[in-house]
Amino acid sequence: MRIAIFFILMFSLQSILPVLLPSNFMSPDLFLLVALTLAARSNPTYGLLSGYGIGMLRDIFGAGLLGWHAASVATGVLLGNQVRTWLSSENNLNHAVAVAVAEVGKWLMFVVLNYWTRRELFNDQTLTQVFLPELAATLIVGPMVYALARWAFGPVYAGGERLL
Amino acid sequence: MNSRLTVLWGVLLLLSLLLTRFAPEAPLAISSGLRAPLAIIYDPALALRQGIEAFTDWRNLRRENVSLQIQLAQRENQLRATIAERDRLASAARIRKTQSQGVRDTAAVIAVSSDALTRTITIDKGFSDGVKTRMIVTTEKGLVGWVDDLTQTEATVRTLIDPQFRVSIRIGNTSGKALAYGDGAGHLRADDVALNLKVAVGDSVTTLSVSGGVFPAGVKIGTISQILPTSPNSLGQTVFIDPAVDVAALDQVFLINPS
Repeated sequence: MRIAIFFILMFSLQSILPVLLPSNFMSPDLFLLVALTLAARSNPTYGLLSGYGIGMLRDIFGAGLLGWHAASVATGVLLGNQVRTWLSSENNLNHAVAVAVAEVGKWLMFVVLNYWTRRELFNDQTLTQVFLPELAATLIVGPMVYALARWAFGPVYAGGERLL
Repeated sequence: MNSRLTVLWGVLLLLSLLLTRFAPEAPLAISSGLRAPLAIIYDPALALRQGIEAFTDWRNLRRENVSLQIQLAQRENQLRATIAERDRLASAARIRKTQSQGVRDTAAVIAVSSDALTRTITIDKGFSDGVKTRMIVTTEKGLVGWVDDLTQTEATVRTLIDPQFRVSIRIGNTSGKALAYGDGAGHLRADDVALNLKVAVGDSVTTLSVSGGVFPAGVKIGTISQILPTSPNSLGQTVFIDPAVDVAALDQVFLINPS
């Protein structure tokens, strides 16, 4: 039940935050945060696959290019989860570092796919007006999403096999 | 990062590359289908957003309204000041035309002194403004007095109803002249009006320029309010003059260089 509430809440928030937030504020990427919390609680393979799946859901729900967010979120999860395993403990600072790396990885994949699809979606203002605000928003809400994930899934297992 | 994970990521990336390039975009029907259940939270969120925006707009409009009211008050003050300046200049022009070309400055009356011995006013111009003693103080209505004492920033004006004030007068269009002085009770008095001069209550009284005098000719002083009966032994007629200017109600006066 808690897991269902968690997913419904995240999906709903991602849908209504653009409406609730002022127009000059970017919404956080809750899909990426959800993917990171799932990856932290499963083995790396399933984590990567869940990230790809969550990204694909976003592509489908958003009526966008199939595979666009899938590859990007998966890349973010791969890098963010890897950084998380290198860090010594679970705390907000380490989570923030992992989220930041995941965001950067996601956006790097955006750039690759943008070039691949010849879409020309980026310009010189994308960095300051889209990427950085989204990164900041994601970092701000990150601790809340991680706390909610702890409530829904329980704490992250911190056993020895975590260091891959 | 293990190689199995890297290979899996590579496969997923390849899949995405193929999908993004060759697969059609996700059908709108799916996102449209999600619209209905999402409306449960989306519509209240939208209403909340619109409510907040309406409140913000109202608050901004109220601030703007206050700001505009302040601006309007400032403009009104500027307009009043401009009108006052226009009136002052117009009065100065009329005084220059009807009383003397020597209008030098204007001054505001900042104090009125009225006791048993003196009837003076204090103006806000003094030595540093170029004011000198014996300058004539007047208004468009008529004579007020002369500058009697000076400080750096203020001047005391002895008004025409002061007992020590003296002025040569002409009554109506007659050729006769007389010397008037303040009676200390709000009027002027002249005791040496020639007996053969025909004067009547209501006759206007103006200044008479005499050699060595300070007053320009023709500045209105007031009107005759009372003529005392003469006796066979009288050397002249005694008349009382109502000043044209209400000294106690002055707010601005003009300074004229003495003749």
